[in-house]
Amino acid sequence: MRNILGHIRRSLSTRLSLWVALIVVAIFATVYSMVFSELREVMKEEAFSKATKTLEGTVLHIDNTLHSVEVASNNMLYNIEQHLDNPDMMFELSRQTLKDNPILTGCSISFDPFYYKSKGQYFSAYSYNDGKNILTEQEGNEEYQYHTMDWYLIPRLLDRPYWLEPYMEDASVGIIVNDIFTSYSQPIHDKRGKTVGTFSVDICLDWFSETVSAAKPYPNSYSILLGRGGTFLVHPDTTRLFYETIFTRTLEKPDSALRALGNAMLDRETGHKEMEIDGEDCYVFYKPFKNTEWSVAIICKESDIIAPYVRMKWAYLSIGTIGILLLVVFSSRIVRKNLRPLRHLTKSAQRVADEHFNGTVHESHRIDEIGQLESSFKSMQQSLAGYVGEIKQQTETLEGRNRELEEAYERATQDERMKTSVVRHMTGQMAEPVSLIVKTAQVIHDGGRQMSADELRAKTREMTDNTTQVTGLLDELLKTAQEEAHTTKGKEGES
Amino acid sequence: MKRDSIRKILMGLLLLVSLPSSAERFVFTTAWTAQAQFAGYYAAKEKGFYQAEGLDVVIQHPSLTTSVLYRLQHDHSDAFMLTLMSAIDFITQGVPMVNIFQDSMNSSNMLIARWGADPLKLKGKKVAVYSTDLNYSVFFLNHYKKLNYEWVRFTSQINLFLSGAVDAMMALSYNEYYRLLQAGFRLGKENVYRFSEHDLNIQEHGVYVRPDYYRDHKETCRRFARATRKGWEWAATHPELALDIVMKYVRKYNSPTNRTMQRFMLMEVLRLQLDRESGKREFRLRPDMVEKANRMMRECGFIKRTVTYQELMGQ
Repeated sequence: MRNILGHIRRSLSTRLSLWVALIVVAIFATVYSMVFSELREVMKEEAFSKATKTLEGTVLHIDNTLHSVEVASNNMLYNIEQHLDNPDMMFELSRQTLKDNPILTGCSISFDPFYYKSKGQYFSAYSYNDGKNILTEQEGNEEYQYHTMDWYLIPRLLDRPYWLEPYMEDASVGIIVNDIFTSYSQPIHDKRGKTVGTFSVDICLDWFSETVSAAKPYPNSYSILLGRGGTFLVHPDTTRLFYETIFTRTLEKPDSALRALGNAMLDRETGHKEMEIDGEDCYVFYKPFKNTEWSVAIICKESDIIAPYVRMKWAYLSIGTIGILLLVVFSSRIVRKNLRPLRHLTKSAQRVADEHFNGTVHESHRIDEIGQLESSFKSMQQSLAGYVGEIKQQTETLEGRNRELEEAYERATQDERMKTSVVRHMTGQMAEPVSLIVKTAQVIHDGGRQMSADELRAKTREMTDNTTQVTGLLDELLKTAQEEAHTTKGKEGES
Repeated sequence: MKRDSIRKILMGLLLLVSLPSSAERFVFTTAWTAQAQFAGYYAAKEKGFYQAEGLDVVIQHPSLTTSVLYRLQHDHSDAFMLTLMSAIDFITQGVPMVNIFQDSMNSSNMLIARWGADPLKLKGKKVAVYSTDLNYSVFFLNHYKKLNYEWVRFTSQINLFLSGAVDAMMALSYNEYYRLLQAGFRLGKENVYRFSEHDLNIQEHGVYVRPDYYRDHKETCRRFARATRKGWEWAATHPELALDIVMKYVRKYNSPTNRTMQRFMLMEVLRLQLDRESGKREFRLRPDMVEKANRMMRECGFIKRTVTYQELMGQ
């Protein structure tokens, strides 16, 4: 790592390439994130539209089929109510209903206890289409007390047609039907408008399962169909069919999202929700049927919906990464190639630094800044060489003069030493006469009054002679000094 | 290969010999389709408690489209599961029964109202009651509180309630109550009338046999009761294992339910087995409850004579 950092610190081309790459990455990241965020939304919208259309198609298909069942049932009900006076005809009408509507598996025309006194407490003309034949029987008896069953009771109590929750018959005698089916039941009225029985047609739930399960907009998406109480009427996990509702698992482990979905579906709402199902993020699109109070939902895994987006993202990211790597490599090479003259110049500069001013400067014959730098460097090197030559000459001159000055100084020092010895010598010569003068003066001062005039004269003469000697020495000294001063002035003027 | 086959045949014969050859067959019909309400019976059979008592108990589940009385008159079972009040009713109708085992100590009856209403304020409204096994307590409540309900007798499930065809329904606290919760209903205290909390706590299911059978098979009945009690005690201490057994029966008889519902049911049934005074699983019919049940049923005209505790116990 240190080597890499050291290399980066030392290599301008690497630094430049990295900077370029960094800026490119920053720009691309910004652009990519904006584009991909937008793209994700567009894809989600498309997915939503696709899922919603599939859902609407399924609901419409089922609604249309259920509507055709309702129409067939309503037409037959009119026939039944017109022939209430003929109980045995009910068997034929029951068979006819199945013959005319192959989608129906069962049909029962059932009456209140003792409506037909001759028929007793139970009278229900029931036909069943087993796929090959239509079987008909009178199904009510002590072991099949239909008067308390949902399909018989609910439309009577509500006094309107009603789609029943899917169920399986528990009959142990007569025609045994093991299918799970739903029934469209409606009350039968006599001419006075009194409810006298229930007319019910059955449709096998397999038909719903096939139709609903076919709604599969994505490879891993699946559909569920909820009954009124949230019961799973269609679910890919067949162990949950009819036995579980959408709320079952929330009773032991609260799940507000699942509960909200269940409530929305039971409230016959249309919409979609984002939620986690079995540990995966999913989008659930739901819509109720018009005819029944059931609701169908398509569950699409987010990974499915955004799969094209993810694929595209990774492709772009890969291309981008490779592109940036190539950019780094090529820009590094280009920069290095372009900086090669600079490296030559660096070497030249180093030579100059080592005082080799006459080396050859590499010429790239370029006219750009580097070419100009080369020629400037070359000029600079030549100028430096000339300048350094001049300086050398001047230095040599100065050194010559220095030497002369040193010699002059040496001479001056010798002269000074000589002068000093001369002065000392002359001073020594003056010392005796001065001392004699001082002594004579002292003698005259101490005993001049007792001295005779001759003695005074002799003493005065002695003093005069000594003074003359001293004066002569001083004159000579002065004369030498004046001559020296003239000589020095002349030399200074010369220098 | 030949030796192996001979060894297997010998081992099979040994196994056959080791089984109790004199295991007495005892056919018992539960009160409903396969569910956790009968966990103790299933456990007694699956854990070999019946076998240990020398019984070969066959557990049957009734068809929900026939009434209990019809079953009593036409079924060839040795024993039936009835509520205390049903038993009293049938005895007074000339179908004598003897209690050989009591698994419920409390009432599970509930009256649940739709539309967020108070069930006691639904005067004259439609109330759904079971057709196969009457909820006598609600008739007494109707009579006592002068509610004038319009009765709608239905077979099973909660579809009548879901459709809005009735305003209230009778429910059992271990079954329909949880089914309604499972269907997304939010039931507040004000929507639910629990009979056990209003001095109408009457024991419910027990196992009954005909008096002639009881007279001839007293010891068999005692062994059945002993093994069943053991089965319930085991279920109470091993609820998840008991649930495994229940789910085996649920799948076998294709009952429209799931493990979550069965877990709730088992817990509630076990709770209802605890006597309120002793706090223990007593598995006995209480004379005071028999007396109270008689009084309630007489007051609302279901019975004309009292069925004594001794009569119920075959004494």
